[in-house]
Amino acid sequence: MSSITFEKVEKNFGEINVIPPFDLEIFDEELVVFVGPSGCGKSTLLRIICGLETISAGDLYIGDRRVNDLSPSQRDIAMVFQDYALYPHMTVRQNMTFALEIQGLGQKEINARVDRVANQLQIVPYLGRRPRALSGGQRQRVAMGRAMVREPRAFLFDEPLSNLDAKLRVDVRTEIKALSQSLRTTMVFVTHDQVEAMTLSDRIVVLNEGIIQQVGTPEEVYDTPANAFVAGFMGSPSMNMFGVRREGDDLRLQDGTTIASDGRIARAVATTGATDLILGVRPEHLSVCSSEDADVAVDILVVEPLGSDTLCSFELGNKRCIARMDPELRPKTGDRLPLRINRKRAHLFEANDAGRCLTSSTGG
Amino acid sequence: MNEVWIRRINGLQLFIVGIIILIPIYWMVGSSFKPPADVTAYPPKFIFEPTLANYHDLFSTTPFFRYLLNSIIVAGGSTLLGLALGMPAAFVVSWSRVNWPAVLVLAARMAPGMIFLLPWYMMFREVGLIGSHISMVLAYSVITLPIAIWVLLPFFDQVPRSILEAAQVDGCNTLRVLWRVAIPMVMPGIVVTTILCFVFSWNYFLFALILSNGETKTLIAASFNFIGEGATNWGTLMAAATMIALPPLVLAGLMQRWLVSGLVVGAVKG
Ligand SMILES: Nc1ncnc2c1ncn2[C@@H]1O[C@H](COP(=O)(O)OP(=O)(O)OP(=O)(O)O)[C@@H](O)[C@H]1O
Ligand SMILES: [Mg+2]
Repeated sequence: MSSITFEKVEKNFGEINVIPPFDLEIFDEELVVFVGPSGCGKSTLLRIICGLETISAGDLYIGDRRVNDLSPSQRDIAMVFQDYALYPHMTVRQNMTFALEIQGLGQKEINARVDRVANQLQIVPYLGRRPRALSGGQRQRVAMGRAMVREPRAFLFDEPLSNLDAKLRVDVRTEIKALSQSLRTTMVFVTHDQVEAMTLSDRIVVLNEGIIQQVGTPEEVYDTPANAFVAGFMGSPSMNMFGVRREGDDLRLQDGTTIASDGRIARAVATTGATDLILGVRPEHLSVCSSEDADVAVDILVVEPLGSDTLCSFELGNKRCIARMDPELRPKTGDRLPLRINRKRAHLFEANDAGRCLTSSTGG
Repeated sequence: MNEVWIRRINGLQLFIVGIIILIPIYWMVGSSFKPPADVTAYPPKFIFEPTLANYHDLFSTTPFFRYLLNSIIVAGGSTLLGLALGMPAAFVVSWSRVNWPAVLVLAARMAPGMIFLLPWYMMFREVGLIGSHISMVLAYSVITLPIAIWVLLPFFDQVPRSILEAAQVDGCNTLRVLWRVAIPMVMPGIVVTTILCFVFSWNYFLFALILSNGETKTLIAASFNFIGEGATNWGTLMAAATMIALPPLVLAGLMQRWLVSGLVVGAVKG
């Protein structure tokens, strides 16, 4: 069990800088999820932690120990690979005992650990099988078991659920969360699935092009995104973003609709001199209301019932938008509905590349 | 062209190639059992009284089993040496994706064997190893090492990188990754390599001809003596040739059950 600390860690592949100076502290016993689009450097960061990738500059600490120059075998970190990477020529039991034998543990201790973990993961019936005789979900468990028997300082997971079908993915996700709570070991989990990130993590690290966009609890990242990238990336369906022009304190959409701003939005508008802004509203923060309270009236184009909610698509400000509605309302294609934007939960972003969030910084 | 025809043509090709390969073998084995007078008879006799006279002659007039032992030592030794050096070399070339060392080894093999002999002769004489098994095992690894590296390379390339990385993270240093994980996964390749190395060094006679002495002569070099010492004794030569061809066949037969493929299946997601 250990903290993991990045101090200005950089990674270049030849001429290409993949990770610009990177600072982060992962606390002991914490489950941190790295999330970001494909190619943003998540796997690279994970491989840096376990030593499969050397670092080009900066320092990496595991616990108090600087590990820049330690090989993977000296770091006492376990990793669950995306493709599981089980040893095909060994049985499940041998897969699990392999690292322990190298550590030189006694046979009794090895057997005790394997039996305990195999019970916990319910893979006892397969201990004698080779990986090729296992299903995808079983292989996934074995890969986790192989990591768990080592009782390492930290677990790393590189998209371990991406090869499972949808139902299994949800089950295993819950299991990993339960495990992390019972094992009390530092875990770093990589995914590009923001739902996985939200459900699993103590803290989320949102990455884009090797740069941390925001670090925070799932609630913080969801409710007070640091910028437009985080706001757009987290949440499904993603946040509706409208280009708006400031008119006094009010906001005007591209199609001319004016959104009257009240206290919180007005305060955010006041913090900037820019006239072009982006208004972000999550689907669940658009609600049907009486026509006199409505900000806009929209024509429903597509209705997608999810059971618990119903998603309605419509066009607003020349953009396709989605609102999440109570299925009791039974919205139908072609309906014209008055909608109100929840001022307490909407966000305002700068319209530049950084897309800084103005509402998060002025306080919810 | 439809599939039936393609299959027929394939069959025909196989038949022709088979005939071309098998006729000399049939000739060799057949002649070794012919009475001496029938061996060179023209037109060839296809029906004859089989006899072991040639074999009796071979075993009684030459130290056949000593030559056989020498051949086994030299071919076996150089095969083991080729594997011992070739496995780590191929592994590292595959792992690091730096190919030039393998190309260099191949280039050395492309040079005619003759050019190695003079320097070797002088070097081995200097250290008093001329005629020793050691000198020949070393020399023959020029044959086996390139085979080992180039046959094993694609097998190592097929091992998923993540499995080797998993082994590293599990606490293996490079040597252990090779020994405990990579080699067991390329077992079919090692079987193929062993057979090829053995057969090629078994049948290569130039080095043995120059570097061996009467005591350490290999079978293939000794069989050279049957030709040209006065009248060539064809029957005995064919018996010797048959005996020489036998051990590699036996080896291939013994090892082919290890040639199971598909060991890698199920390691990664699949
Ligand atoms: N060995 C390498 N040589 C050169 N570039 C590399 C190498 N490995 C990764 N990269 C580059 O580094 C960047 C980050 O890669 P990385 O694998 O960390 O992304 P990722 O966030 O894990 O993406 P994904 O979600 O697709 O797995 C990519 O642009 C990739 O092209
Ligand atoms: Mg990745």
